[in-house]
Amino acid sequence: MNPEGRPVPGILVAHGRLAAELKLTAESIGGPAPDLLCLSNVDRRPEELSEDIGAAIDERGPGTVVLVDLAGGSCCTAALRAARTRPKTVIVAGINLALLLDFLSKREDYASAELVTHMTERGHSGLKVVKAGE
Amino acid sequence: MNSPVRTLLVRIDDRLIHGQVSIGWAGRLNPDFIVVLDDEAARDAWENELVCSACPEKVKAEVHPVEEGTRMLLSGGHAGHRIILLLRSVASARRLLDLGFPLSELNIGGLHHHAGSRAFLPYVYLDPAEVEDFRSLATRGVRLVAQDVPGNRSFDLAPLLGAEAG
Repeated sequence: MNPEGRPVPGILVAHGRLAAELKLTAESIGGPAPDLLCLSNVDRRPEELSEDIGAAIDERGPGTVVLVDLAGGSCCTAALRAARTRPKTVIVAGINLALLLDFLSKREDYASAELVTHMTERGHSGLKVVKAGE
Repeated sequence: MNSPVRTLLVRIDDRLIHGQVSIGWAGRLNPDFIVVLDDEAARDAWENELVCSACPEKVKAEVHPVEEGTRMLLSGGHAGHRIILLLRSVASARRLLDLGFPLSELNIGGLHHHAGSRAFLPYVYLDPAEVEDFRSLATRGVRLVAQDVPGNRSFDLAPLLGAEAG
């Protein structure tokens, strides 16, 4: 168990159906993660998305990790606005399946900061040319 | 009268700079400036920085209050540059026109659901005051083109507003 005595809480925020689908896919590989909330930009005004992210962070407490799909995208901007008044929030952009699986499997063992370092390294190392064209 | 202002795109989008603008439109139109005219974002240094941080690396972003920014552009600021101009609301577009900005075509890229609004397109929700503002722009000769990203179908918004009148 990490020093905070609970798994690092997380929220997935992404365009369209990406968050929900990514969660489903990760769960099919690594097992259920019922507390991982998924939010989408669809049918939400930017400020509404920020408010929903903020409320979800408040429910989960300081050190919540918000995983967003695209740096500079509207989901990332909404997360940054929500975190403006919640300084202990961590935001990681550029989520992929390798990163999410690492987050879910290690969040009981690491504190928020170490977990973020670990999973972003996994996210980077998981992105590679596995066979170049000839 | 020839104005020194030339823009690649004037767009209303309540998200200001985000993927559809920084990847979709900037990728297609190759601007060197994205100019955001918005009082709220211009007044708040944190918000200003946040908006600019969403800009693609090779493009410069600036945020100005609507009136000051419009006057800056009209007086030749950024003349010769390739500009995407972003506004948060139709009210800002009206102010632009009132200040003498040569607005022949306006891209409506995202006005999302809010209190009192109804859907005209999946990404265009308008309340009655906004419908009136758009009608007024159309009457003054502004072509209203709703299109979220390049390559997707565009819609002439004015007839859609007209159908709502009855």
